Amino acid sequence: MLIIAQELCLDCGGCVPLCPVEGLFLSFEDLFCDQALCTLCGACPEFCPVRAITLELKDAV
Amino acid sequence: MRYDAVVIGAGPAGSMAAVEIARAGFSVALLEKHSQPGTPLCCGEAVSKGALDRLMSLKPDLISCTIDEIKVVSPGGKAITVKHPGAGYILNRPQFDLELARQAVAAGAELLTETIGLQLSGETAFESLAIDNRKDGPGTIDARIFIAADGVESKVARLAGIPNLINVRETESLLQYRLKNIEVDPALIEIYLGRRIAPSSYLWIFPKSDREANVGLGVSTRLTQKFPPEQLLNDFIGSRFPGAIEAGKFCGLAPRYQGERIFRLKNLLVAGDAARADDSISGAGILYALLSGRYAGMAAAAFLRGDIRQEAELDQLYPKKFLDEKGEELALYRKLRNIYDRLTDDDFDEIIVALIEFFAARDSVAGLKPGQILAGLIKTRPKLLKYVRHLW
Ligand SMILES: Cc1cc2nc3c(=O)[nH]c(=O)nc-3n(C[C@H](O)[C@H](O)[C@H](O)COP(=O)(O)OP(=O)(O)OC[C@H]3O[C@@H](n4cnc5c(N)ncnc54)[C@H](O)[C@@H]3O)c2cc1C
Ligand code: SF4
Ligand code: SF4
Repeated sequence: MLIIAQELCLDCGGCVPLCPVEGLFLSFEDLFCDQALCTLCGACPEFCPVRAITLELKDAV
Repeated sequence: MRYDAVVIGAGPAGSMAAVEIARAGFSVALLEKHSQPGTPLCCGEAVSKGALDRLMSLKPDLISCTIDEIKVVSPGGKAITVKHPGAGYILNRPQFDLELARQAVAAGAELLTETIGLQLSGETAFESLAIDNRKDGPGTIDARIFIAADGVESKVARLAGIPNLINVRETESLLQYRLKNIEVDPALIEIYLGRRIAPSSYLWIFPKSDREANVGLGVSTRLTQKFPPEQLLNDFIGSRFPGAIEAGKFCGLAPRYQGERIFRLKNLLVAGDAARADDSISGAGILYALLSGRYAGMAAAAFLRGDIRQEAELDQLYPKKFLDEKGEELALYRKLRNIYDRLTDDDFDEIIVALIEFFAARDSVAGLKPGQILAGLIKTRPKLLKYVRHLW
């Protein structure tokens, strides 16, 4: 699943237009991810300049 | 709630649009999700002085510094400093954005802060915008025309059906610190090039005073795993500004968007970063946001007055007027971007040496057009033709 570290996120909104499934939404000051939509494509964690997003692959061995 | 027009986002594009609509005598709601326009800051705050002066007159407290010189340092450490009196301003961007929004309010616009524009709906045209207000919760606003000026996120335009998704390969990851307790020349901006400094991008030092600056860099997103922006920026600051105090940290996205720019869908106009109207080389977007916002606002006012009967006729006012002025420039920057991406550190060194030779006989860059500089460079170093021949 996608993990957002709100304490690191600077609310720049840069990751939002990269999400191919419109799974990211920047509210008043918090970024949300709709986990049901997220395909774990990796675009937003790759972009985030302050590494506020990580992918946790639960089934990884 | 009902207005003649709704503008989503109170950045430079949105406030300019709202000013034009309100001055034409129509009711307009200007939505801003933060509690105050201009905050938080996500910008280096640099802008061309000549171009901004042509657009508006600025109160002195909106300008932090006036730039007279530009220094560019190549990967091998070769530096050129070019005099260009009055080349640019470093703005006080939070105050600048606030002032623009105040002008919209003074003209009659209603600024709704802490209000997020969500999704447009309607039958043949858009009629209603779903919103969320921090205190009052969800609601809707009806209007005859809408302008999405919601910045790089541009969620409103996309959810309305405008395909302006950005491919992650076409982006740069930007990081900037506000540094205090440093010594800088308040009339000089510095640019550093090179793979080890800012891969596929550049590092900037934009002074805010002689003791303070915005220092930031971009990294092509495909390279961020190998070259994390934070590490690169910390390394540079550690060696160039030991003892600096970090007074702010900002980040963001510079789109190297190669897709089609779409400025209208039915009665929804899109302006500024939301329309991907920024310079693909430097990532600068303040001026394009101001200009596209102004023309979008003028087109909306004409539509509301009934000067325009069909939505498609809007295109003759916006984006046509904006593209007539800025279209060629934006297209040139896209081509230059493709060349820039292919340059190696040796190429940058060679180009800077050629520039040093070119400017040796000149005192200032003022009055020179980019084409003249290119022609001059090729004359002194015909080898450089290999970089620029793709322009034509
Ligand atoms: C690190 C960095 C440095 C930069 N440096 C420079 C520079 O030196 N010079 C330059 O010219 N450009 C620079 N830029 C680019 C410049 O900041 C933008 O091009 C410019 O701000 C675009 O203006 P805009 O009005 O289109 O959008 P914005 O300024 O982003 O304004 C959009 C507004 O809409 C609000 N908003 C967003 N979504 C919603 C919603 N759904 N509902 C309500 N409100 C919403 C936002 O809060 C914001 O206030 C930089 C960008 C970054 C990231
Ligand atoms: S890119 Fe990073 S800092 Fe910016 S909004 Fe997304 S998670 Fe936050
Ligand atoms: S990982 Fe991909 S799909 Fe998931 S939220 Fe990020 S960009 Fe969207």
